[in-house]
Amino acid sequence: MTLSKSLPIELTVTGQHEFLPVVLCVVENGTRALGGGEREILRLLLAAEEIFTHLCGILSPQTPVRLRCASGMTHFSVEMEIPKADVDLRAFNITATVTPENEASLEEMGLMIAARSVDNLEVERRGEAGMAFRIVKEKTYPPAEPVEGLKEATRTKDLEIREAGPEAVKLFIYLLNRNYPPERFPDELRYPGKVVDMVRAELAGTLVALDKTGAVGGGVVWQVLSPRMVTCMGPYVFVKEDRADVTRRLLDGVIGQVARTSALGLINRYPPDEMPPGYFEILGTVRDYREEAGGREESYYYRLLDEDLGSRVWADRSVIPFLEKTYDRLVLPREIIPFHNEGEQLPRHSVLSARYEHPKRRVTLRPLWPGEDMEKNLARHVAVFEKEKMVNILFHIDLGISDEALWIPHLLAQHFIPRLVLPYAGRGDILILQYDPATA
Amino acid sequence: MEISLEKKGTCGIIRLAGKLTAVEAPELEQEVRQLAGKDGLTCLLIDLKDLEYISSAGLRVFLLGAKMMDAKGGRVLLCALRENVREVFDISGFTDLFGIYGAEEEALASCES
Repeated sequence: MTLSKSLPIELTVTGQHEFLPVVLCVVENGTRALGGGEREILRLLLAAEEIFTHLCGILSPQTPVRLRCASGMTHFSVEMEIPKADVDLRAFNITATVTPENEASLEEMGLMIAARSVDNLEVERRGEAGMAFRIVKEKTYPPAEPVEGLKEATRTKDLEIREAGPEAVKLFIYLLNRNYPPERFPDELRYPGKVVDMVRAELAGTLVALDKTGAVGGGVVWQVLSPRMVTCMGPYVFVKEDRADVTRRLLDGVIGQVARTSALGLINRYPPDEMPPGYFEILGTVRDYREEAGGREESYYYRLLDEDLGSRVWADRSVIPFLEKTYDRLVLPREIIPFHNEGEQLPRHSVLSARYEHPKRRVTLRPLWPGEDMEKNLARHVAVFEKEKMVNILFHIDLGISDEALWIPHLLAQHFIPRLVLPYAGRGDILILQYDPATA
Repeated sequence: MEISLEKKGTCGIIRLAGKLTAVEAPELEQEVRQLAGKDGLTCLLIDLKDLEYISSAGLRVFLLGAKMMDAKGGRVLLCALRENVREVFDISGFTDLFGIYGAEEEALASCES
């Protein structure tokens, strides 16, 4: 039985080891009741045990820890919220290692295991009074297998653009995986079942071009990026003739669908083979440093769908000229507030999260926590990625979160250069910086 | 979690079943200390065939066992790790610290050689 995804399971205990069995029982049975399989349960259980145990070691015994297990249809999550505490989160960094002879590093082993056993980890400040750890395990889906005898639509004139039901979504994803190389679409689109679940959960939408026999000639997927921004992938077109026309019809369809939502705009990171003129403007580019790409620039596209009444962004002075130029070019009204460290104390160690996209040899860093060692931490991360041959290193700064601006001078010092801004892609706009090996 | 103990020659065998969390780790630690401290024992074999789950608390007990055995010139062998247990060893970098074998018989043969 799967319960509604909208009903989280909550428990509040004090931060004492005696409550560990209770916490484990709720995470295990709660995630199972929400529909989690054994793999998801064991990974969440492990991360939850490690984080709760660590918190018990540093919190005073009467400190409340609020636990919340939830299902997001394509993933399961556990959140632990505590009052503000002095927690050293260094071990959450992907660069952390354990040395068996070193007792201090063994103390951090639990957090390191927690960070690496789940798909996503967030550490969030909850106002002045609290902080929360959120761990996410994606549901496991089988990848798209080749389907024998499955044919693409051939008669372009018969194609009709429709919202896709589960069967059509699956056919579209099979054909996408057969017709396009993996770097042309995000990892999610490798899994037909996942896309079906994303559509059911209204986290995504899909339009397909179907002929009268039900054969698929192309499709497009869009996904909610934030309450004010949607991202679309494609269109992907499988027919041989009139490809530009099919692309245009699918784009008109997706723009029409998204325009009915609260989204102000549409971002496209995975453009079609040929972007029809007049549909999108270019936000900016990142360089693809893979040998086979030969330093090709990859464009991010944007279309404004509703009036942008403006917002406030926080940034270090060093990138304000770049931001002003970008906002002027895109005609985005923004109030840019300079923000930098003015002697206030920072935690000793900073934390970054890393998301890998192996087909593109790309890793995207997000700041979880600022700290005194930001520059050294960045250098450590770059060294690890270079060793792993991840040649495309991006860093996302949410300009709607003032603290994240603290990273900017350290990023510039570590040879990251500002490349583009994604409007409203996070709490505010997202500034993308890219590591430039040529200047390092 | 269930812990069962056996001694075969100079090899002490610990078989674990169920989940090894920070709740059960102290009990296992006590057993490991007792067994590893025995005179004449040159090998500690931990059979994980029926172990469904392990956290860092369990790894630390294994590490303690390895240190105790190492101090007296002996060693710790692990066998029959399930996939998710193996992953925890890999994540923590502990895989290289122990001799890891497929089945108990194979580990035992190595122990006796």
